Amino acid sequence: MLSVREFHRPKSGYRESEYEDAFSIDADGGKFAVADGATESSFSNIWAKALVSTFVENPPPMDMNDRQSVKNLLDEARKKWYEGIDWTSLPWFQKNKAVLGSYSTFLGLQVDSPENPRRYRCITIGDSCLFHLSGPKMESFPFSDYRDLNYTPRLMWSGHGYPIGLSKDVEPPGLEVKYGKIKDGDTLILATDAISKWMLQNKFNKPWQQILDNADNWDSYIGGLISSGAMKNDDITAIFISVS
Amino acid sequence: MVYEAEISRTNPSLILFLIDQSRSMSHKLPGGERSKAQEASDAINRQIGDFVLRCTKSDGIRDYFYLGVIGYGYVTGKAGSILKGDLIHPISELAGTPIRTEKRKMKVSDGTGGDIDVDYDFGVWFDPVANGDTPMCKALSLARDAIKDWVEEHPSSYPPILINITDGQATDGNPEDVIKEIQEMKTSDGDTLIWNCHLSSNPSTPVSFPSEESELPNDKYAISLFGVSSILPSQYVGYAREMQIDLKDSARAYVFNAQLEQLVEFIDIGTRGPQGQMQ
Repeated sequence: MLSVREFHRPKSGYRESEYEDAFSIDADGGKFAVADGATESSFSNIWAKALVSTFVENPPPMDMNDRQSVKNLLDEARKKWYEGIDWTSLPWFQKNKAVLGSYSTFLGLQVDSPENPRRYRCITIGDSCLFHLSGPKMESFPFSDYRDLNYTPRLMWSGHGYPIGLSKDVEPPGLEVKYGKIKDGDTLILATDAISKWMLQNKFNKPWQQILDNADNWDSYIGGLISSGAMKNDDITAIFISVS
Repeated sequence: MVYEAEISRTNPSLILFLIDQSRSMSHKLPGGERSKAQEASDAINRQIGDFVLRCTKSDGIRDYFYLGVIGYGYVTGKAGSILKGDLIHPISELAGTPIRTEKRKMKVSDGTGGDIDVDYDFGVWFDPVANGDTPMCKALSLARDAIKDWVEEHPSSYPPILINITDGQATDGNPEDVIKEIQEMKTSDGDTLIWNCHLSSNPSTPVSFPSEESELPNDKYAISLFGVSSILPSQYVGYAREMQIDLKDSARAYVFNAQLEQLVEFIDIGTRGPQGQMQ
């Protein structure tokens, strides 16, 4: 059985409507995804949502080729994104930007069917991370060193907005994949970049336990870390999955 | 002096453009097809449009920047804001108040290493003028007053940036004194940055980002503006080097005899720093 706790908040000083990360959860189906819409592009929140919801609602078969899985996700999510925007009503300056498309990182986790419940596949593009806690061990993917999160991440592109739209095919960017096995008592954490970096930076102090210990006042706990400079002021998303 | 303050709606930054509108700006700018006034206006309008673009989010425009454009010489002896209304405008207000938009083409990536042309709306906030004399000191005094108010109200903001584009010497005094006053206005993140771009009327070799007086011709006016242009913070030296510009670590924010290419580079580098600090 998979038990889930989800935490998210916009940047400190920002409204919930300005949150540009996205997440989607299907605990019964063993499907989870997080995405971090790039602030530099417009409608990246819609793009991030399209990616995670497409992945969770319509996951690729576990045995499908990894790159083909991402290509299918990209094609479906692009349609959802394009249909989610009222292109003709945009003011001139928004049209200028929207034609450039939207960008987002993506991390999708799928746990195999109930007949084979101990295998998982994680596909990621960019700097959202998966943490696998098993007894005293912690494995993180795709990064194990917090300094690797200092660079501009790889991003999924929606393709152009109006007027070019879906007429041009878009190839998926480079991706990284991890296959793993879970057992009772393990925890998997999906996290976007700022909280991933903080967890990697503090990995010897069990930062994941600090989050769970402060789950009831999560928002002010994270706000405190941000205001002290320990964590970057960014949208924050983390999904904790306990295996039993 | 770090120039690393994050720019947000609660901690915005100020960019001021000063543009010479004297009669000699009607001469053609080497490297371009049009007059200095037209090329300089186009370059500043494009930059305002770029700020609008960068601040555009799904839910509208976020006021990360406040901008002003001060013209001098549009009428002999006059200097003042050439944007509608106040001297300083939040970027969201500018997005809604161009005097017109023009259809132009831009190249966008096709995602496979090539480019495609797309129509876009080019915002125009002011038209070129080349008319009177060069009351640069008057324009700088207006900038000084605006920057003084700004740093008092935004003491921890990314420091203000002043970009002055001219083709001649001030006709209302020596601008050094007022520029020195502006240079002393600072936030906790650094001094106000003063950028001076001297446009050429002839195709002689431009001098971009010099670090020593000896790199300049024996021109009293050039030496004077060079001396009061800011020493480039290290980030800006890096931006210039990314654009294949050869300069020393002690380079100043000054170009002498700029042609179109140097003008465009100058404004691009001058505005890169704050654009990179947007939260």
